[in-house]
Amino acid sequence: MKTKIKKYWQLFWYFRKLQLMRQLEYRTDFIFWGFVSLMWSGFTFFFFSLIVRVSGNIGGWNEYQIYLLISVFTILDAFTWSFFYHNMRYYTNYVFSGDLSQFLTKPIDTQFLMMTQNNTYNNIFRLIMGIVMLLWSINKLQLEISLLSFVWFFYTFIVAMLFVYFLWFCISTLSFYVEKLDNINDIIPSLRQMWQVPEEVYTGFFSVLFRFIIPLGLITSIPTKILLGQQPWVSTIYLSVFTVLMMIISRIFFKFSLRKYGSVGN
Amino acid sequence: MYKYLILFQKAFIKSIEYRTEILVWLILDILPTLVMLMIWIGIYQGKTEIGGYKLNQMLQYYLLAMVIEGITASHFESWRIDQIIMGKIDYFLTRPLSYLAEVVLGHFGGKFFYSMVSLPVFVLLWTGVSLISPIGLPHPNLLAVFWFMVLLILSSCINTLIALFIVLLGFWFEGAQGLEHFKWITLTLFSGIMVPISLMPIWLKNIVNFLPFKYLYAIPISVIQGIYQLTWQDVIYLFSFTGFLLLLNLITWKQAKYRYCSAGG
Repeated sequence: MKTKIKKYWQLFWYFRKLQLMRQLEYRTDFIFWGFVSLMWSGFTFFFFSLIVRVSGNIGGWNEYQIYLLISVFTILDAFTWSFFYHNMRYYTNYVFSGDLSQFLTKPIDTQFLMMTQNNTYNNIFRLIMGIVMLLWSINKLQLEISLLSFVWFFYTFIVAMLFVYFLWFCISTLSFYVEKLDNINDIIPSLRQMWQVPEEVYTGFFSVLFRFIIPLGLITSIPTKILLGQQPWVSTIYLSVFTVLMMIISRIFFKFSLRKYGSVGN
Repeated sequence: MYKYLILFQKAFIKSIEYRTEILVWLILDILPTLVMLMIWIGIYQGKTEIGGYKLNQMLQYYLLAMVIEGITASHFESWRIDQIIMGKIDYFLTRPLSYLAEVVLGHFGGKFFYSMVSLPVFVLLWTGVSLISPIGLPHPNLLAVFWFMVLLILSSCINTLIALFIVLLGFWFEGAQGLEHFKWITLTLFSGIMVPISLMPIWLKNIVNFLPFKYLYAIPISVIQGIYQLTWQDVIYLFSFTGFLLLLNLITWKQAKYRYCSAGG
């Protein structure tokens, strides 16, 4: 077991090294897409600053609290675009084109192989911007973050990230059941707007839907609330349990869907 | 003329073939709007009017923006640029078929099918939203409806011509796909799809009023809501801008086709 984990750990970092080498080969591309990602992040901050300017608050959250939430969103977004998007895109393409066969014959877990071998470093600028804005917002709100709060924040951030990942993986796995669906990987990026706003925005039926049934509204709200000094224990436990369930469901669904897969040649 | 009708028909049939994809696009169009509606419903609690807009007018604004975007927006840049970069357009250069016509009619054929599918869904959504909040319907006069339709057609042409120009830049730049993002950011900032013009800060309002992109969303919505009356200056400006884009595309295409090379096919 220990050797197996070590092998997967080494593979993971080997892929990162390979991707870095590939990225450095196309330096102009790196700078250009880095600029694009920075522009989108800047745009998000600008957009919410406009709304807060006219409304005073969003869902009871004031201007700097909203910036803090958007910072967490931006950091999460950096991982979404650098890691998840590329791997999911290749995953669905392999299923549609029949290239998945080459992964099924390797002595490594197929899901691991497909979900870790690709990434880009273009979003490093987005990540930096998110961190800078996070620190700036913390400073403006005069928050004092204890070590415990930071660890809790970090934990919920990872859980939120994994939740997005497993949900996305489930949706991408639907590619086994449709003839060709090029925009299947645009669903989660489009849903991102759901966690771009505080969970309090959702009221009535939508509150039940996005805070309980599919807790997309909790993704950035929980880590941000921890930074704000609140203690969302119930939400943290709920999201953690939900993420574990998603992990199990996505795994079972993937294994089941593999039976539907067929290809010729390769 | 007949061959171009066939191109349109081909794109229409292809859209039917990929109807699941159309369904996903529909969901992707609706979801962000729903989030925006929820945000604004929350913001209006305890307020009757913001920037001259009542809650129902604001909700109408975003729903109309969604409808206009669904009908007029274009998304074909990336894969068309890929075609050019990969040298896969020989077919159109060696036959009596205009490549530009193929791109444009291909887009309109798909859009036509999408509009047919999406409009009833948008009506259903509108009805659904009216159950949550008293959104109502705009009451435009006949002239406003006429101008709204004209603006929709021109908005669709402008969107297509901008996208086509980005595609043509693919003959020069390998990273032309990235220009699509510049297009989206520019349009989102300066067209009024993000927030109504009256809610923008002065500096942004000045830029928006100077540029023609407001005719894509802000002006058509204001016209149908009865907030703005189109003048002849607007119409002349809009037609001139469309003409300018058309000319720009034709000139660029004239240069671009000499830059193209491919081996094999």
